Amino acid sequence: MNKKKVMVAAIVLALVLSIGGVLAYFSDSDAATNTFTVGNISIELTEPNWVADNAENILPNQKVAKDPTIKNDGSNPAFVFIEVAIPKKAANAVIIENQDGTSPDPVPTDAQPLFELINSTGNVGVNSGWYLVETDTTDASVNKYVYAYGSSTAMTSLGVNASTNPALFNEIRLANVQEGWSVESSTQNVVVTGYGIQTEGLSGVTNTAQANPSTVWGLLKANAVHKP
Amino acid sequence: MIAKKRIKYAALILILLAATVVSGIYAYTSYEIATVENNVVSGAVNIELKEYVKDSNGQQVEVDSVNEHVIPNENIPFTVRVYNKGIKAYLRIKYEYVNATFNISDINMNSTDWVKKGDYYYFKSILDENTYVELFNGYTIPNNITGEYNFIITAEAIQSEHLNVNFESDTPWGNITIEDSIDDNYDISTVNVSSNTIVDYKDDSRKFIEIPANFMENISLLKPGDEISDYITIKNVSNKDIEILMKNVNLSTISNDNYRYLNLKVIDESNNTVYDGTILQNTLTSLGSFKPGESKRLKFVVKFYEGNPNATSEKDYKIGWKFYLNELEEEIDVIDIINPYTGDGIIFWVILFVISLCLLALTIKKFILAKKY
Repeated sequence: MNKKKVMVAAIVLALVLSIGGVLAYFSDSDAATNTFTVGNISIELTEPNWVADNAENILPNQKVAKDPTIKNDGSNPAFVFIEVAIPKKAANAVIIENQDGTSPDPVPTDAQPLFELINSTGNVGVNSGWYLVETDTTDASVNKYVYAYGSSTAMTSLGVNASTNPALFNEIRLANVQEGWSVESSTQNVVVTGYGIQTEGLSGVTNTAQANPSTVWGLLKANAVHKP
Repeated sequence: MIAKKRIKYAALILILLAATVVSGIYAYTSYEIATVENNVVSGAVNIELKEYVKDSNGQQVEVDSVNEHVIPNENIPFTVRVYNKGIKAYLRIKYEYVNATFNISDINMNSTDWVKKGDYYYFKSILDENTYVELFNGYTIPNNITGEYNFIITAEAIQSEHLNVNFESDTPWGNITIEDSIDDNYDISTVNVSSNTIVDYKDDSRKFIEIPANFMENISLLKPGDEISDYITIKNVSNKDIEILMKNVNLSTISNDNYRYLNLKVIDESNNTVYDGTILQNTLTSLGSFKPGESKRLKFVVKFYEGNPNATSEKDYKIGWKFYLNELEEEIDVIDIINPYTGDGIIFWVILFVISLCLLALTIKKFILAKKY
């Protein structure tokens, strides 16, 4: 009577042991697939209101529309900067009169920039929303001014497809250059350059919303593929 | 007239023949003396991988997966945890990178809690029920990379009890197979194990068999390798030799196939194995003979075999234990055909069977000869 039972038990045991000694306990697995698309920083510098013809044969104190603007045409938000290189002349090579025509007093000793930046209010200066982060007067012929898009304490993140608003400045004005200093009939280049850098993962920047412009500009100068 | 008589004789002999045949096969009648209804419930291993990022308000939110535009060196507020919603288990993690154009150095898993063997990080401690372990909090995109890549995280868990782990070995868990749990929604905190044991004795049979009221009762969740044991005492209080048998049945709605990994072993006081096989039986199975006055305490051991797949998890195994008694008679009562006979009584029936066959043969022969005329 027990023969049948023993046979069944033997079959079960054989079945169990035939799994080749692999122990199978209760188990489970779970997985997740994450996708990261490593993007890039790409910016475009434009001056929507610049008309090259308007910059020909300009006279002292004449303003020409010029509004440097950066557009983020990359796939990641960026911190952006604009560098304006303004030609200058040595203090003893030019006299730039005051707006009322009088000579400056005291007589300047530093080289004098030939152009002034005019903001939206019509005054000398850049528009609000931009911050002068670096001035470089070491070059003999040009002064470089770097403006950060942001405030003195925090960069403004420029989103994908967004443009800086307002422009850095709205017009450029030839300084009130006294005649006879070889500025007449000359061609002066005002070079405007845009720079951009990622907003995340910046060393020394723990909070993107409070990224110090000097810190970010320093990182950009050190690490950029196209260095300033 | 003669033909009719012959038919009657043939019929009578056939009936006699049938009676001997029938009685010859069913020489025993077993009386059900006691039943037990109880159940054991099997547990399950179930883990859940949860991923979190931060929304625009800086609040942590759970996501199914992360799909982001990133830049090199960016630190993503990306947190991953593994929750244990099943029984106690060991855990291991695998990180894979697909379509990466470079070699990504691995996530940093602290060496106090984790050890790397082969492709996996093994968590050295047992993950208790209703707890979680955090894999990492914050993820930095590798430097100098381009394009799209996939970051796949796989978590695997295995029951900790009965498993021999050795974190010095190249295969800390040994040669095992990982399966998916049969139910992703299994949550051990909501499982209520109830075990109602019902012991029923027929008539006076409590004199013969004593079964504990909580026979084999087990309130914890069963898993491969577990053993439950209990005792039944059998005493022959009659003046005849008796045999005790059992035939256990499936009382649940799940198929018998699910019970094949529940093994039953019955051992007597001398440590002899009385029975060793599946917990369910198709036929009456002897638990031994007992002389008048003889008493035995049998140990019943139910073991959930290792080697069974997740298919046996989360099951409520209802079992009907059925115990029977056979009287073993030495004297034969010739007149009473219905009563059981064994031993020497069989010879009587064999002789009667042979005589019946001979008579039948003669009758058939005569019948055929008569027909020829």
